[in-house]
Amino acid sequence: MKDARACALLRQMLDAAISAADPATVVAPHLPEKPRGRCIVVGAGKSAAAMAQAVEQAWPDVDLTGVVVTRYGHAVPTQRILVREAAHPVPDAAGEAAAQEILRIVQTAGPDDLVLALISGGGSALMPQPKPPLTLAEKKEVNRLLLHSGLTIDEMNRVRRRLSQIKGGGLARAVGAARLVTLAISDVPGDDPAAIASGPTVPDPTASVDLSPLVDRLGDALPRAARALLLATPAPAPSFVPDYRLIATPQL
Amino acid sequence: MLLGDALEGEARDLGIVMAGISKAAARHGTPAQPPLVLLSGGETTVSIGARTPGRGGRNTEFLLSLATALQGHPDIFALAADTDGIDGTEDAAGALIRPDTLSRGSARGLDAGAKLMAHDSYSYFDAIGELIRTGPTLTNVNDFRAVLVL
Repeated sequence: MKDARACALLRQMLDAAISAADPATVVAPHLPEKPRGRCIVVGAGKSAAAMAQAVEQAWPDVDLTGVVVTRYGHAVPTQRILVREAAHPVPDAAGEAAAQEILRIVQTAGPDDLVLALISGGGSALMPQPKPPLTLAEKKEVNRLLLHSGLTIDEMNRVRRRLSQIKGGGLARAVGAARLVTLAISDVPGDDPAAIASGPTVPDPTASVDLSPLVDRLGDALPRAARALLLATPAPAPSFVPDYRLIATPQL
Repeated sequence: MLLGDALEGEARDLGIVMAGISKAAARHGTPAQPPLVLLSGGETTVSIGARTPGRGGRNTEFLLSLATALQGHPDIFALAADTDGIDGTEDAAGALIRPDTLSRGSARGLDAGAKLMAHDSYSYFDAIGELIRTGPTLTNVNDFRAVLVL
């Protein structure tokens, strides 16, 4: 009897923690002012489809378009925003195709349009867009190495941002001059925007950090193209101030 | 009692640490008197090493380590799960331990220590029917760990 009650209490606490971060309730209060033009919704992560659905329900009168990518099995029905599914934690070609769709559609944003980025955990693997000459197959090998390396999440993300065209602010660069607002569900202690889904809409804070110690720890199995990109002289860190709104976080 | 969202490190090490804290609470009433729930979040790591691992995620590995360190303590229960519904790559969110967890494993011929060494914690909890399956929750605020001391 004591055992059953103890276990039920623990289970209720888990359910409460999960429902406190339910996209159906946490998205709407954080939406910005409605745009005069279109709202282009993009996003990646395990919550991406649920967040897109919440935007559609909150903004029935806004000209919504866009595409989000979530994990296989995490899609929910949407009317106007396209939902793609891809592999996580090891990325696949479906994720790469979705990343290309996302980059293409944000480039169509005009001055009256709003780009809304819906970011959640898992977005890093779901939206792969390796920097040439790195291929997706090599990127997968890197990802596999990372997941078995014992590196911290922070260290893994330094590597991921440096190897991607879309992470570490790459998506924001593709948006250009149009207004960009990010709504994020954090799965990261400390809620660092550069760490959640590897920060596609914020500047890479480690863009100019020497990654050679991490390259050494990843060892000889690291693909040559990845090694070259990680050891290349880092580009100067781009600076811009993102409109980044955390809508749910791990802090209990 | 909230321990924050930044507990990192090896899942099995955190299990040993949390066993120590919860046993101190049960025996000495520090850092607080029971009944008490120790809540924490954040994301631990599991280093696999060279051997082919069994099945499991951060949360089930944490719990198996915790159960091993608690040795069937009669007043301590715990739940650990990933709030996205997927612990590691498995189809369970996490699991639950209670005072009879180890004895129920033994009754099925399962050695908790050996399962922990083999990173096969999912199989252990699957065998004793203590996995928690939520399905995809469509959200993700990292791990949820609760240790209940009565």
